[in-house]
Amino acid sequence: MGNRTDEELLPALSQGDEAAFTVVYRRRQGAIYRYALQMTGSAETAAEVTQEVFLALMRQGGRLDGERGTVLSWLYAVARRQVLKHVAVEKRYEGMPEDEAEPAVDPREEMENADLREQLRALIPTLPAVFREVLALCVVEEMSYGEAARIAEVPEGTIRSRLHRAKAMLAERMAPAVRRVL
Amino acid sequence: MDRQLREWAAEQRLESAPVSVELVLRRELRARRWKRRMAWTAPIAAAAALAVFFWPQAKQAPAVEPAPVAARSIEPARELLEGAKPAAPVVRRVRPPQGPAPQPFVAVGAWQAVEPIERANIVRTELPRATLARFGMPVGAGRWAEPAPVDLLLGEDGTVRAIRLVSSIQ
Repeated sequence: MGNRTDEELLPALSQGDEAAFTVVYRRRQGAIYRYALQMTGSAETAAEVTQEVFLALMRQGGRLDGERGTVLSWLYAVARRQVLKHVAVEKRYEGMPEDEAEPAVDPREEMENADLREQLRALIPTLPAVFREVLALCVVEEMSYGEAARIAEVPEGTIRSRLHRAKAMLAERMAPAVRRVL
Repeated sequence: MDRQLREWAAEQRLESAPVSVELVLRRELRARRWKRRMAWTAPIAAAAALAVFFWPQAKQAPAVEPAPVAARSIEPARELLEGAKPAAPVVRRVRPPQGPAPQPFVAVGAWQAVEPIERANIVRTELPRATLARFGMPVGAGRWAEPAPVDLLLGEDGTVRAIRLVSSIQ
């Protein structure tokens, strides 16, 4: 069963086959959890989102058409909806312009002695959600621009420019530390 | 920058959902599977149990022919289903199998006094006439051991709440 694709496991999933469900879950939970983690910044919320996503697969798996899209992109779509719900509640996603990314606390002051990786880890959660999303999809999950575009429901060019801007913003904020190191 | 991002990404890839999520999901999957199985096996099992319980008694038909039971003991199924007001629940009526026009339902035993049923299933089966007479069904004299077609009204838990004759028995 482990050799079969998610799409091949769909019929068994719709019958409530636990083995099939476990294979798909173990194969995909990491990506969904990481995506939710990057987007919400909370391990607890990410676990909640992951649970909701796979509950939805349990309920609606039988109606999925493997010919029309991959199970993974469907899982991401559900995760995205769940994440947006959480982020909207926290007022961190909606209404935030893409070019406004100034954190409440300037991490440059707090991170004077931290190394670059530590700085990066601290800076990424301060980026607007659209940039965190593109980092999660293209950098962490190593998706192509096309795949990321389908999940984020934006044109490929937008993904490309968001990734470029995300890197530029990080570089700009890391500059003092980089200068010190160099 | 790219190198740091790659390192950060590699670190992130180690993250995964807590084991508790998988446990919750698998428990939910089993519960859903059990519910689905019960949805179609419970009515059949209940009907079978009822038939097995009453069949031997029916074979020992009474020597003395009982008088036909008066129609006063027959409660219409609607009353049983809709029950007392004001909290009238939503009743999902299940269309019974096609066949002769049925008679009103007769509540069985203790269920005559209980709350209305929220969801019910109707199962068509056969029961001995002697059994039906015991429930106050208007069955005629003779052929006590012979089965007659009936509809069983089953509650959500699979217990028999009421019985009705599918057609009048001569």
